[in-house]
Amino acid sequence: MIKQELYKLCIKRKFLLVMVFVFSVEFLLFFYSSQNIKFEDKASQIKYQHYMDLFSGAITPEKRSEIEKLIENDEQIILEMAEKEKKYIEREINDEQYVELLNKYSDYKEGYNGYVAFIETYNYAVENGNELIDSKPWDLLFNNESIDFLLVILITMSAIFLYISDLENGVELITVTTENGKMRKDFTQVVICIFIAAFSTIVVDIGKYIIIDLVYGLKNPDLKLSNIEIFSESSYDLSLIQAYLITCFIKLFGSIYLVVLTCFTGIYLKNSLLTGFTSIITVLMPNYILSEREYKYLIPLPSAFLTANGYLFGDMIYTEIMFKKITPLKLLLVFGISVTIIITASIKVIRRNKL
Amino acid sequence: MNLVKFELDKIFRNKFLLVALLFLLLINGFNIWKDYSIRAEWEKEYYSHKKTFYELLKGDITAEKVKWLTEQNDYADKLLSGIESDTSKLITDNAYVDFNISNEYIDEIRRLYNYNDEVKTMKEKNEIQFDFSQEHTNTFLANCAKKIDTTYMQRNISGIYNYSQLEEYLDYSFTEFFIIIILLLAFSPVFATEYETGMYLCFMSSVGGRKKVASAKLAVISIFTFIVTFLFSVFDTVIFTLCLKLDGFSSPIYALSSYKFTPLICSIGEYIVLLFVVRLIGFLILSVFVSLLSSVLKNSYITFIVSIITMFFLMALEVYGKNEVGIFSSLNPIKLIVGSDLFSKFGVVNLFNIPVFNYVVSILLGLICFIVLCLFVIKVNNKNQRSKKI
Repeated sequence: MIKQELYKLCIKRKFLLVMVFVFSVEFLLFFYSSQNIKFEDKASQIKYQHYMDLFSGAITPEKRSEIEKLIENDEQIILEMAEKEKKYIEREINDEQYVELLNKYSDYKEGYNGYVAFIETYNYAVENGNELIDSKPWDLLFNNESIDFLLVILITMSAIFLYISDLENGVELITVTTENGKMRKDFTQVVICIFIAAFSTIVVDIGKYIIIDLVYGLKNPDLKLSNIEIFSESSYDLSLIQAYLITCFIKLFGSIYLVVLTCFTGIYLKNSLLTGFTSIITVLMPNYILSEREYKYLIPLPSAFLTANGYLFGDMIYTEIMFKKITPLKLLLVFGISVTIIITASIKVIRRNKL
Repeated sequence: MNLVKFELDKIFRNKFLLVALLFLLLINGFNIWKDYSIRAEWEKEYYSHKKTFYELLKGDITAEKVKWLTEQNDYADKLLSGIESDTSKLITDNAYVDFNISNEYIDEIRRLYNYNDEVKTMKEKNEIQFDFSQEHTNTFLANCAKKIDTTYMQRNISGIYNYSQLEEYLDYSFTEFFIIIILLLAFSPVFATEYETGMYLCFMSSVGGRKKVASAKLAVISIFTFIVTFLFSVFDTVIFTLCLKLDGFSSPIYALSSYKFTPLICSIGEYIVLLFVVRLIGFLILSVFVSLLSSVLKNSYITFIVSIITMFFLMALEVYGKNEVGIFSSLNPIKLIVGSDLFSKFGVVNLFNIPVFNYVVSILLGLICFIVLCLFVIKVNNKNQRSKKI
């Protein structure tokens, strides 16, 4: 039966095509956004990379003094240039001398953005007592608090194409009279939907990891989570890779929750459009309305789990609003309520046609 | 007319749509209230003190008001530095708060006074450009300079109001997102349902079944879009007025700092009406586009998904391509829906050496786009039905 349902969904209803399309767009967009973390000019990128190769890792007194020397040297050059500019304005030096001066400094200014970015990273590491690492690829991988909207659409589509459309176009009236058309059919369909949701989430998460690793290189996966700016206040003693795996697992749970909730809503609405609308609203609204607050992670809805990162945040001021850490107890409570909802909804969906 | 009535009835009988509309209206209201009304205790207290000052200062800026404010500022400063000890003249019973608030208002009055100087400097520079352009026979630049001169002629700000709060109200753009969602829900099935339920077979055989049904549907789309936009706009204004106690609608639009170089010469109240009209055009384009998709895709759910992805794409295009100027950028309905970007700066398009304001071009292009899309919808539906007949 699984084979037949899969055939119906993937081939007859062309979901395989949709899946390939969504994955392609998803990875293309991610690849495009991963290019944005590179510097616009090549010289800056080379300079940044050069400094990172030289100084990344624990900040030893030797490294610190070398970097401080760099900063001092830069400040001196900037001061010198300002003085010369002042002299030029006051006509103490002529045009030719000024052009000569500009040429001299233009060599120094080449790739200057790379230097500035490196110093910013260094200052952040010193302030927080962290190691010096290039956190940009990790920042992109964790992607702050955004929800993968295309993945949400794909997941709801799987439930709608397989489960809701049968309810909508009256196929159920025929299947319910057959031997396997009651509980078994519903059970198989829900299992397939859950499988697709889990598969899609895993593919997207692994795909993104591979892309960023190939494009930029994900170095230092064993470093502490607090090395990343968004997790700077996190009290969890996790490595970056562990944290990524945990957020992936939470997202996986969110995807399964979303697909079960979509099937459950579909039983009552019996309409693809209305079910799709309700599911998307359920995911988007809490995120938009309760943005910057911890409350969105405390609502037992898929949106909380699909955002995931917030569960690892610590207490922090987030654009003038206090974000209070989600304690493991609160997380367990939200998780427990959600699991109860998933089980109840699944039973309701599967036992709907029990005679 | 009967068809329009019938189609309108169909939309208003859609209970889910009405519940969703009400739900999103309430959510929007809550969102505004949450962002602009829930404040920390110290903030609430500060704002209530600020209100006391505001009540004494609002309206035309007079020499007496300026004198009083400077004196109050000096007095609070003296109290803070220990030169003065008598606190009886304080407005808020706290010298620090008095000093800060009076400073804020002094800065605001300075900004309003400086506006006149800024415009004067700009006009002087413009005159130089005008002479230069005439010397070099650059007609377009000369015309631009002339346009700048007429646009910024006789401008001055005479009143002090809560401009920052008016700006917060004008900058709030979450409502547009809710309106888009409601329009997608309402119009995704508008033509697709006829195909899903097989009703198009009936239309084919009826007298008014071709162009008339499509035209009636388009009329209903326009009416419903207007109702939704109007409802949300009125709701927004009411909630904002309640939360932020807005006033000063009769002040010129250029009194707002983000509109200081706007090419518009109108009051803030008039600008709100203009913004509503421009947004309505944007939403109309969007609604007709969704109905076109509905006719082509013949499936409500697929139409909804394709529309929502297109909307996100257009939004991203508007955000990332903000600095792009060109016909494609002007055709993006999100530009009209957001609206404020069109009016906040002076921008012109070269039309046979005549400078035409960007917003005029965008509105005209929007209207043309709306008409073309309507024609497309009628043509597609006519064609669909004819091909089925064959």
